[in-house]
Amino acid sequence: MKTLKYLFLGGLATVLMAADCSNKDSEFYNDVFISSPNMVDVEDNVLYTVGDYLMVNAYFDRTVPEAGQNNDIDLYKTSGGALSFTFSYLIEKEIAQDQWTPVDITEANVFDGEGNSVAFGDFLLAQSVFDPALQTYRYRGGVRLTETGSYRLRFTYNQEPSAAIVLTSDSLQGNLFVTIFSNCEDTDSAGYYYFDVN
Amino acid sequence: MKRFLWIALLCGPLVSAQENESGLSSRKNEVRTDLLSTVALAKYNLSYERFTGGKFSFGVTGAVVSSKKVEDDFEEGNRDNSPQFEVTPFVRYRLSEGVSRFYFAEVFASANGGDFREIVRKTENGVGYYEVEKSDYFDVAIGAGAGYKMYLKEQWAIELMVGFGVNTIETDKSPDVFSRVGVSVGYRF
Repeated sequence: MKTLKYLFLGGLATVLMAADCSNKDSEFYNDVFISSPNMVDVEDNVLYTVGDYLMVNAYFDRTVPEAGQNNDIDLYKTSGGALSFTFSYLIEKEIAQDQWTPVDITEANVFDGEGNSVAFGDFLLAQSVFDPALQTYRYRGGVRLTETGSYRLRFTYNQEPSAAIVLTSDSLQGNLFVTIFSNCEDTDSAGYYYFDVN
Repeated sequence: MKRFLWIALLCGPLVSAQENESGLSSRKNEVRTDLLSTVALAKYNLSYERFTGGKFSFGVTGAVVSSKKVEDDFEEGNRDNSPQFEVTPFVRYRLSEGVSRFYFAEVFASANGGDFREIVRKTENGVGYYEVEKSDYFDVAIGAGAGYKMYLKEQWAIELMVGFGVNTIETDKSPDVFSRVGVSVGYRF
């Protein structure tokens, strides 16, 4: 009889573990992931001097091409009328041969043109904000360059450097959250935009 | 919740129950409801079980789900299905010799259904967009379980049960796992 009880307990333990193993029913089902090229660009200067701003733009229509589809995607409609898309970027300074350290970004050094730019120390949070009149999302902002040296910019804060730029919709609860994987023509294949400040 | 069930299951044999097997054997029918599912999952249910006189019994459980949390999670996209009903016929085999306190094994099939949501891409005026589309699902789960049952005063049943099954038809829409876990009270007559 004892053996039978142990068999039962073992069987029940297996049942409980098996019930816990499935995670299909615990995912998030309001995410839309799309790819669309060239949604962000850097205002490319041939020569930067101390006091200049490194400017970044993200202007895009509410409808943009979607990779793998034969027609555009309406970002505004899909996201339930999201008023902005957010992405981030950071600047690194070369402190020795192939050694880079993030530049501290303060509010005082941020150029807040269109949309929103919020300094978070190591990186800058950029919001491309919807303009109802133009039916476009608009961002223009930048960081003042305060020291001479060699620099690089990338759009992949808190993740491995890559050429992909991730823009996420600031959707209200209950609407679809749109994540756009895009790129910037001004960066190299690793996702860096290199520049010098004299 | 599962930890509580484990403790209850292990302590079950320690609880005294009045043994009067002849009285129980003459009562062939039982109705019960799973209080745990009712309280924890807002799954309102009723079971009927018919005892054959031997070690086998069979029955059916019906349940409707009316959980605000499940519905909210479904609407907010934290889950892609929202179970609404279950009809679960089952067959049990008593593994112990006693009839007033015993372990049992069970196999069951469950017709279950509910709501399902998915994100689809549509086109309007030549422009694409994504939106949530809702539909119904219906599935049949097959599974097994085990439990412990005891009687008080030859009539009042207390039952602990753990079981699970897998859906077999619309597996892309229905829940992967169909669980049958509960603490039930019932009346045998």
